[in-house]
Amino acid sequence: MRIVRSCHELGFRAVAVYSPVDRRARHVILSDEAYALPGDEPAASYLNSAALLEIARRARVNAVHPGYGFLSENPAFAAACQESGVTFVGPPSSVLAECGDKARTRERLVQAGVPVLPGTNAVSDEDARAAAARVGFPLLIKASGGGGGKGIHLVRSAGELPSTLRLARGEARTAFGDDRVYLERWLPDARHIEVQILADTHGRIAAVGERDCSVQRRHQKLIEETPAPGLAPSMQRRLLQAAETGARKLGYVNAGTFEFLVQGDEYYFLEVNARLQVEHPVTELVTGMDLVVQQFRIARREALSIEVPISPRGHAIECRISAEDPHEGFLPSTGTVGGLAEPGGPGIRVDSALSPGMEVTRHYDPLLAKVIAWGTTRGEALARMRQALLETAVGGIATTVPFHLWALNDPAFVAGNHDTRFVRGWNEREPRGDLIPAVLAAAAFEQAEGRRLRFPPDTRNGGWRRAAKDESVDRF
Amino acid sequence: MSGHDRFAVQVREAPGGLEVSIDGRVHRVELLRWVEPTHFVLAIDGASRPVEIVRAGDELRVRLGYEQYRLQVTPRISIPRRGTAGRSSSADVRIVAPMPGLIVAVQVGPGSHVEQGAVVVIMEAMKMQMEIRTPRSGHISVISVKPGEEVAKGQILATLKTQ
Repeated sequence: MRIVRSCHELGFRAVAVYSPVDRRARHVILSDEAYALPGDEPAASYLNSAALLEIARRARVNAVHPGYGFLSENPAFAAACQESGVTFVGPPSSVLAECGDKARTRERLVQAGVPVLPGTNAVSDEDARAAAARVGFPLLIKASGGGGGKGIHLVRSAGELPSTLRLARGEARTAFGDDRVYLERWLPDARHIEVQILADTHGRIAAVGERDCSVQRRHQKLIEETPAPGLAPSMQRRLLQAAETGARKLGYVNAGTFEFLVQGDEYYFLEVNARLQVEHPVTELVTGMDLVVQQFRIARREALSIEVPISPRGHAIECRISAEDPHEGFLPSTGTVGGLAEPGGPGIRVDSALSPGMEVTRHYDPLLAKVIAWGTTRGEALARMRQALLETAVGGIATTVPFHLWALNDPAFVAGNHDTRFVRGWNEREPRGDLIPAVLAAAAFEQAEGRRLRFPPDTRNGGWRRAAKDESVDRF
Repeated sequence: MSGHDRFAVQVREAPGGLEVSIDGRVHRVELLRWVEPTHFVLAIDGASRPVEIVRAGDELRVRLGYEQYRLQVTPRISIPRRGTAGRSSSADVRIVAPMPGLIVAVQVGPGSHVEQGAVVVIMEAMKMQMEIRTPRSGHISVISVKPGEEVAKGQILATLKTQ
């Protein structure tokens, strides 16, 4: 949908593909043409490179925009596109191959003088124990072909290594079709800051700006913002410079993101995301730039016309609305979307895949929508986001909205003093609040459902009992 | 049990809403549908706010702001629960799916002894794998699923006999 919008802005004809479960999705309805893929499983649909190329040929398209996830960082797909005479809107196949091998990218960045954390190349099950001892604990097992936080598992001690390794390999195999994994040291209290870059085919590289993505669960981002709060200007310049140096070393072309961990005065390169990222809208809102349009221009071999450094205008923040229940440890929730309320008002942008009646299945990523707020200051952006979250409702599916409401009111977050441990605060919070309104809501709900008929008609009394699990609310 | 609060509630239909008394204090309450099927607007004594209500088994999950409250409605005249008397010393523990998903692997067979925390089943949903572990030690009496099978949230995966 995001890409359909930019295509239409540029006057392009937009052709969409969809798996059968997505046939009523917005990108399908609003594209100029849409073609069905053979099945719902990712391998049969959005990872089905042969079917995608066949559709590209049939629909006579000039270019393929791979979005994010699925085949967006797949060098074989990029090469296959070029061979069939279709422009792949993204980095060249050779750059994707290099960035896709995360251990190799690390090595290249070290050669360019960019600091990295201790880590390994792809490890076998047999070598893992010795390699882990060299890296040191806590460490992360990462999928070599991974991205988007998938296939990353934390290992605190040697004892956890075998079972976590098995889990990580299994996940990597399903998600990326590649079960190679490598180890990397983990800094538990760092900030996750990434740099958006754009690079044209004429060797111009622009580091557009940074994003703070420290609010994560299971190493996947929940909240992103720009500029990074409290980041020293000198550190910001070093990160932008490191990303530009890295991009030059890799011969990077098109849009990409260089991810870093920042701890005190030190920073470490993590990986390159060789695609448009989910959180790109925050950068768009403070630069006034359409990154998808930039991607198409670069793919047409146009020269970049961006003056760097860019002074960001105001502050932008994004909350990911995912089909996960924050009250149940962020487990995926599935079902049918009933009604929908999406927020609006000054400075609010919603990028959403939601529509009433939509089935949320276990087949795809749980990301449903993104709410993005812009303000002249961080305080204004946060205030607008709080209001937007109150206006957001997805009927029938548990979402991350309650977590975001908590986060946006948390003193550490409001002060910008949070790091990657932040989500732990939600799990360990002391729930407060007044139980009476909840009891009144439940009473009115039961009344509306006609439940009172269960009681003897002359009493109509109910006794109410809270279940044991939420023991913390009795402190009101 | 600690952590339980009980409220005696009386509900009366009144013009334009309900009169609800909690422990003797009366409130005017209105609950209007907002976003189907789970979101409502709750007005208490004229002040309104959004609320999410989900029925999950025999409890109601009420979400106000970011907090969730789990409530159970029980008639005041208590009915003795059946089936609790005469329970033997060994008990069946059901291991259920915490989320809908696909069974990737079954790590134990019927009859095998498992220690608390052992992995019974590996599940996958939304590209995430999860180890389902046994909450108690005991013998696996029944394995109810096989690899490749789709399961619903709350579906029984295995049954365990504790000693």
